Amino acid sequence: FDLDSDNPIRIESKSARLDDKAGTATYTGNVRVTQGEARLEAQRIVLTRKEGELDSLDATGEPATYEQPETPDAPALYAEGNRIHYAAGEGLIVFERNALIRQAGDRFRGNRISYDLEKRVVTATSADDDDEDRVEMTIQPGKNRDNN
Amino acid sequence: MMGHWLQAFISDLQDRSLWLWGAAVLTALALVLLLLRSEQPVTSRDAEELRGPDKPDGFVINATYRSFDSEGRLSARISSPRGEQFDDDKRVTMESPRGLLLEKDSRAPWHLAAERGEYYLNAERLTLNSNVRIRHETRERGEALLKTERLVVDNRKRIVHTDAPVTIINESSLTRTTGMKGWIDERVLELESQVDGYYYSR
Repeated sequence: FDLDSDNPIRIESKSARLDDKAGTATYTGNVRVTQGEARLEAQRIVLTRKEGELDSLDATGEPATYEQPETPDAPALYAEGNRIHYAAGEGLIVFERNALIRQAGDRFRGNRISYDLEKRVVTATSADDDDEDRVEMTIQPGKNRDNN
Repeated sequence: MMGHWLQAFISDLQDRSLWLWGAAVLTALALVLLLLRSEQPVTSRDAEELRGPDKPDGFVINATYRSFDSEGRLSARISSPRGEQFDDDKRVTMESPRGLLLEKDSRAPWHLAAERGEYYLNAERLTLNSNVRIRHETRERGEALLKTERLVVDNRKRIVHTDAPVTIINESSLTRTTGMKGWIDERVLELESQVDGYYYSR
């Protein structure tokens, strides 16, 4: 999501609770957040505002999913996790618990994956408290990758 | 000669006073009739018109109703250019009601307006109908406007609720929903179904 974009961020859901003092809006039931073609879907989303501006989005679902269409400078992206956290100020989306990201044939799986919206960099980490937990990465050999 | 003249003058006077008395009586009679005629029809017609077709038990022009919290501070004020009171259920119907609700702690005001209203005095419950507007302003979040066609304001429970479609607008977002419940002092709104919100960057 791009807060500087002229495109508004749209949120649809079955019900919602607006808490003006806390500056939060909690959307529940088939929640869908869209901006242009980018889309976030979840069972529950808590939106936090600071000085009237969107500050963060916290989505939970079984899983919650995020899709971003192809753009001139980046391939389409699909990601999911039982929890998705978007921090406006940091331009970062973090997927946690059964996190998965697919982009242009590449696949990342782990307990926690963060995606930098600006640099388009994926960082995957396993769970600290589970030695068995692994990060899985499947990188498609790209045609114009370096040939040596 | 003199006597004759005098007698003529006196009898002439007597004739004249009879005439004068007669005229006075006739005039008085005419006045009373006029009064009676003007009194009876004008009063009933004016009263009917003033009272209005719904035949309230009483009506108040430029009515204002205030209620206070347990600490004696103003908590709500409702005014209307015309309030019609019906004693059987302690109800007041109002034209163009304007209301003010004050939050308990922050004293932030909620301004209410509608085309029609009905206020139940004992229950401190106001039903607003048609073109209902609530304007609410806080230091932190600026002004918010809420629009709907029906709203119940329960000042005793300090809640507002409606089953009608609602639109909520503030400086950086617009939200639509159907059905809403609000807690005035906590400043919390629960939107009950079909929530559709837009957030704009400034």
